[in-house]
Amino acid sequence: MPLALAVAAVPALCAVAQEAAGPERAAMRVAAFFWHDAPNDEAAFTGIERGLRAAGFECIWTVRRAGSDRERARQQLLEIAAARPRILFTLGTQATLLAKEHVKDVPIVFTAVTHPVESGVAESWQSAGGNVCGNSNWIGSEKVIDAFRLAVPRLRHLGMIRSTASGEVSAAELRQMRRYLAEPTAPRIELVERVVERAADLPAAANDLRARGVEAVWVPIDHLVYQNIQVLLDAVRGSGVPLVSSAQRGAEAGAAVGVLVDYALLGERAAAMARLLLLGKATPAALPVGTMQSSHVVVNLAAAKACAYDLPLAALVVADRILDHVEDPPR
Amino acid sequence: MRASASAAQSGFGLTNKLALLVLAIALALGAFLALVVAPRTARAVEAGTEPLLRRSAEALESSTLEVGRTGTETLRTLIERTTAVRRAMLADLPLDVYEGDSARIGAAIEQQDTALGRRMIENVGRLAAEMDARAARRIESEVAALAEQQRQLAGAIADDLQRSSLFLLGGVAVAFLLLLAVAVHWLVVRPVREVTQAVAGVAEGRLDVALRPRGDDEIARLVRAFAGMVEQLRATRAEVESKRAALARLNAELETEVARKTAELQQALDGLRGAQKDLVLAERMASVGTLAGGIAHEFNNLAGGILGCAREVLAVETEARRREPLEVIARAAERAIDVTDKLLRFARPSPPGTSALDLGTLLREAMALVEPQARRQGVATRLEVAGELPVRGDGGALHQVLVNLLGNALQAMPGGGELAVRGWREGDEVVAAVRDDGVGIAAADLDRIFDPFFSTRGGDAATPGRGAGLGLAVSYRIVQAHGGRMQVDSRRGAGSTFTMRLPALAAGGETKEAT
Repeated sequence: MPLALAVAAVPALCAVAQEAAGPERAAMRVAAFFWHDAPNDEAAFTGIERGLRAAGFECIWTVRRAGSDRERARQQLLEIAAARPRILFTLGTQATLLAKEHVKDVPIVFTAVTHPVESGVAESWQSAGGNVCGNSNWIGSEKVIDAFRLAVPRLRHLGMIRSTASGEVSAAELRQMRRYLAEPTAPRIELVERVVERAADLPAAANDLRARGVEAVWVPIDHLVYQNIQVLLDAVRGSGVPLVSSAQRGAEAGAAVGVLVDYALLGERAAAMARLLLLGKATPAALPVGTMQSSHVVVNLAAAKACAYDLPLAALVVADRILDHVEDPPR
Repeated sequence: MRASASAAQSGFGLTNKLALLVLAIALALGAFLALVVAPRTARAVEAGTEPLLRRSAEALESSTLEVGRTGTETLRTLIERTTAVRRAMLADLPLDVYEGDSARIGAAIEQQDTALGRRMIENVGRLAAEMDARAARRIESEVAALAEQQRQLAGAIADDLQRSSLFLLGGVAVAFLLLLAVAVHWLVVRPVREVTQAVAGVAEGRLDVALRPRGDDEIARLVRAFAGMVEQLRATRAEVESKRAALARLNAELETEVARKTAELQQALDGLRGAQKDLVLAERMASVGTLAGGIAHEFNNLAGGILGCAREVLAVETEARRREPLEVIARAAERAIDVTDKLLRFARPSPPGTSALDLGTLLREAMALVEPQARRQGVATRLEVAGELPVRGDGGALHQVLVNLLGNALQAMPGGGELAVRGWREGDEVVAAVRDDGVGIAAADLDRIFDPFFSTRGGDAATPGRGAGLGLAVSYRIVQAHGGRMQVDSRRGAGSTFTMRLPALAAGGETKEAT
């Protein structure tokens, strides 16, 4: 029996190796620009690289990371523009906005932009406009709320903490969530918002939300907030009020449940969009902003236990990933 | 002593009685525990354990069913979810990059499936571990609940047994205590109380206490010993009482004798004092009388000469101017003779007569003599004479005494008053008392009131000789000459009473000499 399996597996493995190589194409220069070091962006970049390889492109990469420094970002983008790569991939909202400002003659394919229209990255979901196209990691509020309710069935008051410093995305998330919860078919959940200016304000905000009687605290896609998610976890430790997150690594670092997209797959989809541009089959303006059909629910048993919260068995069953430890927070 | 100690040891003592009682009660209690409490406990435990075992079996069955049901649902959900996720992932997979190359497309799909499968295996492992942990927690919780139920059941059984047993044991204990109390009361308290009351009675001096020793225990021996002691005390007390009564009688007799002797001594002393006083007075009067008699005799001769000469001149003198001084001289001479006559009677009193007299008659005559004067002074008179008052003596002299006393009484009541005269017989004496409510006599004058020439009032030129202080002195000498005595009782402002006592004349005409 093992021998038969091995014999049957050899042709399949050979085919996979050949297919992964894809059709041979000439080497070309492409660039990637990061505003900051975010795990979401890194995962998406991995997907881009894989997608381009699958499409048969040999790439000479120019990768620049601004480290959240606006002046450095400007210089790096001017440098990229001067190098005239075939495609510029931008990771995240801020990186795309800066690239739109400084790079006019190179097609820009963005990815991991949660709210491209509201943030000004795209003119509309049908067309980003100009030399820009790309896809979004946006997940509908309905899916987010469904995941949260799966983890906290008695959810009636949802606390939400965002920052003024890096809260453009989270502000858009909040607006979208408010719109959804205002719909008549939406579940009756009151959203209680707290805005902080710095990480030191997070415990007070969490305690305030607990005092308001929220059943869960939402950690949105807010760089300052999810970077300090363990501060929040300490604030709600043993209280029976879990953290829930829509950020990539929120659930890994402290939230009991997280809902997110597969950023690597998102990157692959961005690579597929770039292929069309590179092959001349489409222009950026002709491409609609791509979105994901699938989303992942991640539950973290250790984080839930730290909050003295018992996740329902249903949440564990439907979870795409079940974690049993809390990782270090993303940096 | 040794014999009594031996007797005490040989008796069935109080300690033995109480020990026997306690032993009997302990046996009864043991029998009660063995026959009543122990079977009841067994029945209660049996009745309580059965539902607990039934509940345990139900819980086990429920847990087993729950695990099975949960496992089935979980499996179904897992398969559905995996299918949905795979479908969505395939939808998101950018297959167009493979430009219709089915082999590469299949490889890409397989790669996704592999990743999905790897993730699902990992998930199932963690899910199973979590379900195991939850099942363990649930079983632990069920066991804890059953343990709690068992504990509550055991507690309920224990409480029930405790209540019922305590109730029964309480009843037994109460009965035991009552029995013990009665026994202690009869064996200890009652006899001790009797002894205590007897001791208190003895302490109060009552030795007629009745003690009834019962049995031969320590208390009974104590009662007997105490009764013996009381008996000894009783005998001792009787002896003491007898001696005390004899001593009291001796004391009473002694006191009576002393009182009698004292009275006799006092009477003798009073007699001596009276005799001394009378003697002093008699001697004083005798000496005064001797002197006055000599003087009066000489003076009477001179006054008689003056009176004779004056009467001779008056017999011949007709001229009024010359008769007036002569008449004054004659009246003065007559008065002087009267005074000297009294002095002579005082100095040489005539022996009392031997006539039998009725002092009552004398009192009536004297009262009749002074009544006119009494009416003029506004003095009321009263005379009380009790029967016959026979005396022997000189009727004129005694009449003079009574008139003198009545006259003095009227003089003591110049503004009116009451004059009371009484006469009565008192033993061997006849007594006459003259009482006035006049000015009275000062205490300092009482001892000298019967002295010659002592007077509480002065005389004047119109009545020479009056108030010369001879009336009472003469009266005293007359009464004394009749074997009697005279007394005065007076107080200044409250009147005076003069009492005259004379030997009464016996039926045979004899008088008894005063002592």
